[in-house]
Amino acid sequence: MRCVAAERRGIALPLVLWALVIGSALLTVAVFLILQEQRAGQAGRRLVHTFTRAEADLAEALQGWTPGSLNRALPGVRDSLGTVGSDLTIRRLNQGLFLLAVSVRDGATEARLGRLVRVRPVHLAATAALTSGGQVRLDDAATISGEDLPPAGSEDCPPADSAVAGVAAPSVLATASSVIKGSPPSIERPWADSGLAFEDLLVFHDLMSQATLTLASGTWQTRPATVGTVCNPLVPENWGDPNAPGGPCGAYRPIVYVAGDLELLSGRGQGILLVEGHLTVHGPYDFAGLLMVRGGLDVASGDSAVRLNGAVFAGSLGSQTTPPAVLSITYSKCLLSKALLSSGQLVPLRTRSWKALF
Amino acid sequence: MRALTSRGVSLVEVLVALTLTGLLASAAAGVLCHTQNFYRAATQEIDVSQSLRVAGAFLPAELRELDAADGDVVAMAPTAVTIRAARQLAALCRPPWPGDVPGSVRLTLRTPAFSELSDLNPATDSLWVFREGDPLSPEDDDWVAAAITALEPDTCPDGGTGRLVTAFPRFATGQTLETGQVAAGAPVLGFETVTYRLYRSSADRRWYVGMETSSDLQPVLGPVTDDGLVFTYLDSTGAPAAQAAQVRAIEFRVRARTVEAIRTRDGRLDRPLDSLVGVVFLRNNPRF
Repeated sequence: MRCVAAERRGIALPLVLWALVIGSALLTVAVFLILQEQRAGQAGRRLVHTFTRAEADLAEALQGWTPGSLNRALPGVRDSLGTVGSDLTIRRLNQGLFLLAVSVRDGATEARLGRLVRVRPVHLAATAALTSGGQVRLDDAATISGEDLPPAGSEDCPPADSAVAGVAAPSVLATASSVIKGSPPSIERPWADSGLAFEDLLVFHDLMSQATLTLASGTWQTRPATVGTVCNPLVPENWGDPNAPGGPCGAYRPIVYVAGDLELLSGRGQGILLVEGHLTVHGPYDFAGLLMVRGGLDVASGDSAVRLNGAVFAGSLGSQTTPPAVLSITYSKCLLSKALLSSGQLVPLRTRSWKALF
Repeated sequence: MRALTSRGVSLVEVLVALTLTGLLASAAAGVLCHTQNFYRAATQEIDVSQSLRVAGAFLPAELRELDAADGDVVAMAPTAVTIRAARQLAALCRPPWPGDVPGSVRLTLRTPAFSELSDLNPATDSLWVFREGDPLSPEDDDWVAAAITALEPDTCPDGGTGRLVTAFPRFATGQTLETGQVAAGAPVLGFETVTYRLYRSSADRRWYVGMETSSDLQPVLGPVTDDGLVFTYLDSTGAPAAQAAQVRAIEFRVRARTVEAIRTRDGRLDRPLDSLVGVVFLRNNPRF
């Protein structure tokens, strides 16, 4: 019997093996298809997840930022602040325009979205180069001009305004040699007990709440400060550089609030300067932007000039008589606009602010 | 001796063996056939799912960025939509200045661009240039469309690399481009006018959703059914929009069928249908 059994070649084993092969192949195909579907489904889920998170992050990206804080964080033209938190990059395009970019990654899937935002600045109506709620007293070497003067060599200024008044004040005492230009040269306005007119006072308080530098009263000498070739906004004496628009601090325009009286020694600065008390400026001094002084503004320049370009609001103005102060206040819509672009709030562009980034 | 030890097989044994072999072969063939059907059905259905996934990812990506109020929906029809699809985002490194040809302007774009799906192509792409107007007022901001006529390398005033674009502005009513209205750093968007539409391939006579440019028509997804792409244009109230400028959302419906007939569970041969419906809200319509 053993001999007979050994010689018979059954087909059970080949059949079983064949069935196993077929079964395995079938199972492999099924598993492959299931995995493919699962991967495709997961990729789709990741796509939705990353996109949704990126869009939510983009919507939240504006929170916590103001034009003032962004101006401090990005003091140079075309600075880029990357990466804030985990996935946000902020790029400065010019004085008032920024690109926020969010990148969210989940595995191999990435969503990159951008939003173009701009500054909606505090509204301020400047009707004169110098607006005063009290008496304005000008000596021989004082020149006040309401004719719009864009800064020399600037290519990024809006079209020049028609001239505003030179002086808007309840009383102007000027020597024959002092110059007041504008359309008209001077206009009369009521006395303001609090130094500034009510509407200007509202702007003062609004800007004060957005101050990026709050200084104690005292004597300050301001000039640009850099770390290497990068503007350093951490130095309180750094109020930007009006004389070098393309320089490291050329786009840095802080909102400076001084809680009391301020005496400025020679130097330069730009942006918005808010003085709660009295301001005395010694020349040479150049300031570009908006100057609001609740108390009086005195200029004691001697032979050196004090140049205030943009717009000035003061409780009163007096320039030193002996020796005569060389004072120049010139209205500049461009410089005023640039200063105000450090204030207000950030808003997405009216149209086409949302951008998928590739 | 060998003949005596070897046993023969009887007719009955042969018949039994043949029957068993036949049964096994039939079973094996059945399994193979079933496997093949299963595989074919699965791949067909996966292909359909894949088409719909492409539709779900691709169409919203193209439609989301539109500003219908500013003319980005060029033409709208139930089975086709012509749009200005965004392709690039860059910034000017100096304000625009007049070109040699009257009416033209020159723009220097900083390179590399912030975002670029494809390189700027004068033959197919145009530009939107951000016009700020009064920098203190967001309300007067808008974009000026411009047709590109030439591209060449350039250098930015700060020494960075740039690209000089000669373009002809296409002003909307009341628009101008005066000095100071477009500042250095102003964003510039590149766009391409494309049509997404249903079309029948001359090669296989099947229907596809295609992307048509000025020079090309290529399939994006498919095959779909002969009514496989339907757009519905909704206004701000959710009602059908009467004009392209009123569109605030676009609903798309994609229907795809398997290419080959597959056997269903009840044994019939059929080409199953699947569909996807999505609503895309346009992100860039005017906000205020």
